[in-house]
Amino acid sequence: MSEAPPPRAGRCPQCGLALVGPASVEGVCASCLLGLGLSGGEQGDAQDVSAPPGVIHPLGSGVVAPHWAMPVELLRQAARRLRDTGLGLGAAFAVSVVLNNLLEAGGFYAFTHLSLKNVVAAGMTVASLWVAWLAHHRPLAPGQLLKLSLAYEVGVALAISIGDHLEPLVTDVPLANVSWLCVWIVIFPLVVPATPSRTFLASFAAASTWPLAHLVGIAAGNPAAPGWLLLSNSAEAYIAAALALVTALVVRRMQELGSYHLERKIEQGGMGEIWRARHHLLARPVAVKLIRPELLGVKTPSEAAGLVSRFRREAEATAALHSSHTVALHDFGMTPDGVFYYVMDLLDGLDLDTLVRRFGPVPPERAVHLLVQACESLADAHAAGLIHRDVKPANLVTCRWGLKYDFVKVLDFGLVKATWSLGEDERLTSDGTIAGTPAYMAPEVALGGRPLDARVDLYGLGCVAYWLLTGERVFTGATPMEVVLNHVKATPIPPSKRGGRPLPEALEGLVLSCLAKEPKDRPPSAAWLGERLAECRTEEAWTPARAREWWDRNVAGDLLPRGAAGAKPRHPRVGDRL
Amino acid sequence: MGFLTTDWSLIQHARADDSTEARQAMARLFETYWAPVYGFIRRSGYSAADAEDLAQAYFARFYEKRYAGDFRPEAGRFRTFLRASLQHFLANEWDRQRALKRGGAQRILSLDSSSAEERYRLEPAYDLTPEALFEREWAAALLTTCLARLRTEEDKAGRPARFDALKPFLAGDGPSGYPEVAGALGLEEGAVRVAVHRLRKRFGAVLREEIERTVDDPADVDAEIRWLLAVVSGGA
Repeated sequence: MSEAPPPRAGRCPQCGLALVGPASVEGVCASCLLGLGLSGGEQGDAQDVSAPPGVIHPLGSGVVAPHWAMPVELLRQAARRLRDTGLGLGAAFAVSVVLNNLLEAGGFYAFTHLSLKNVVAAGMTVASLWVAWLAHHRPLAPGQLLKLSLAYEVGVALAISIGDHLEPLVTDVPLANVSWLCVWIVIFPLVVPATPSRTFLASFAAASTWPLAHLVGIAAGNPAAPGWLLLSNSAEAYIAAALALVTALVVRRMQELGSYHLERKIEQGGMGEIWRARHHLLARPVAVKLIRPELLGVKTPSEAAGLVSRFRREAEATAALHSSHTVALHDFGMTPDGVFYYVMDLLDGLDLDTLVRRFGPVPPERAVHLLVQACESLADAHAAGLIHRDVKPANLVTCRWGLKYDFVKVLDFGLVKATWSLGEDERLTSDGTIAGTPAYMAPEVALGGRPLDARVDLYGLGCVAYWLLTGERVFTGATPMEVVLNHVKATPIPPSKRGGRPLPEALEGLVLSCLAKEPKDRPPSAAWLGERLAECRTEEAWTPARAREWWDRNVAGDLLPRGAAGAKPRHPRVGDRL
Repeated sequence: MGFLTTDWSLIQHARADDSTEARQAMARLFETYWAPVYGFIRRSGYSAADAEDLAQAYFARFYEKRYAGDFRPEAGRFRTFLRASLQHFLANEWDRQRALKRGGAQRILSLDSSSAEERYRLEPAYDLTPEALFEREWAAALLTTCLARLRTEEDKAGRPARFDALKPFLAGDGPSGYPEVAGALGLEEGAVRVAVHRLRKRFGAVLREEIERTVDDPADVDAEIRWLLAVVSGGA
């Protein structure tokens, strides 16, 4: 846990807030203290409070990628291979027990410590089968399984070394004791790939079992080997460990995806994972989202092909969008292993859901500033005949873009249509029941039965505006269905009353008009709404200088994790099993 | 409208009968939030001495329910009510002589104006509005009260030094590491981690309790915390 960059002077080491004025109480960060009071699921867990914005990436769920991060496919392959290895070695150790006893019984070979050999081999049989069972049933998180596999590597190495040393060593030929140990050390990183540093540590430990086992042999009554022999045999093992490191580095290069090299996992979410990647030729940093096909409900190859063609159609449509406030989709496709991926701009910012959760509701002038930009993106898309259909705070990102601060990007355009019924928040099951928290669902979506038009996005934008201004969802309820019913029937409490602070009348009127139950009562278009929002008079203006001041004050450094020097994962949580 | 479970809801509904409970609740709130009221008046252009008198006068009038007619239960929160009625008080109803007579002659609350003035002087002098200053001071007063409560609890449990050593860890991992603090306190590192974890949980609970005093409906606590987050991050 020592990977974090050193905090800047005068800033909270946890959240990066500049500790000046009200941000500090008795020298403690006020923002982090307040976060301790938020109820469960937000920042209520004291561990969560320490999450700096520095590891929040807008493209995902907010779950921080653990530091053992490797591509999901590599991990799954590793689990399968570990299972097969465990089964194979388990069988081999069992056979060795039988064979050794037969050889001894038949008088073909006289073992000096047969019973001890039997114990070691039987123990390894059980351990190998146990590892195979764990790798097959996967009750452990990927990181734990990786650690276990490395411990298994060392355990097998120890068993091999002890086995060798329970017989007298051949002392007249320098390389006569070339052991299976070296083979094991070199091939294991191919079976279970790990980070080079871990591979090196495990291989080094495995190689060290050779001199260690020599002591065991002496304790068992065997003569001590000459120094030169011990040295040369140990050197072989350590050379094998060095080769293992080379193997790991080669395996690491397998983190390739088409024209992109996956550099570092940014987030792990329910739908998949997001990687920081780099284009081979352009060296441009991008974000790559990997989606496991089974999470999209795809069961057969033909369904997968259908989904890919839908992605392609949507991607083509998205490519026609020109607004700088729409996140650019650079590429998409499916890996040979059947994992969907798409490649987007790598954004240095916060989604609006995170923004309000961490920093509270925004002043009206800032809300207007953010919403006008979102309107521009939506207007452009609507003109191209695309409806977003999933406008919600988590899909709008405010970021630093070149020299601009608080620059809004709308995410997942064109992709939501393909994944609409499969989103994490608004998942509708085949029987029409709602399986998520439909906090932003337009009434016509909930009611169904009629074609949707662009005004469904304006309802979503109204919900976003409400969230920005009040820090509250428009409607809450004990059950998802109650929330849906509220969207269909209940009248929203005006944001000024809900948030307990006055708002410009025009702004409140526009927000409430977006939340009209009937699409015809909503603003006629995103372009119109953007123009009216821009005309709203607020007491103060959200100037570029204020925006920059806010970012400088609240967000220390670069939000983008940069390789090993990126923000540390302080409280790793594992979203997916292998 | 919530049930009468919070100080603020007690006060709101205590207009007809002057219940002791409501008066105690009012005194508690005023003592906690003296600094933001004082800061608001100072930033509105009054001298330190006048601000002290005015704050006292404001509370005195409020205390005597002169402002009962200003209660706006729909505002929902003591903070928003206090700010609005304070503005009203300064803009329309302030009669300095009367207030001096009332407040100056009869100290009904024991309030520490020197620390409020000290805090006020620590605020940067750039153009903060009285309202913005009020919100900042409110957040600071709230958090200071919570820290003071925690310190008192630790004192009572016979661990005053421990609280001061662990306080920097409330916001996350402290400036020095756990081993250093463990060494200084003569504890195991694991014990320090457990103590910090408990202290954080306790702080969260105390914070919620203190905020609950000021809202009409306990369900508003999260929203109030988010608003205060905006205040301390300079986004409000």
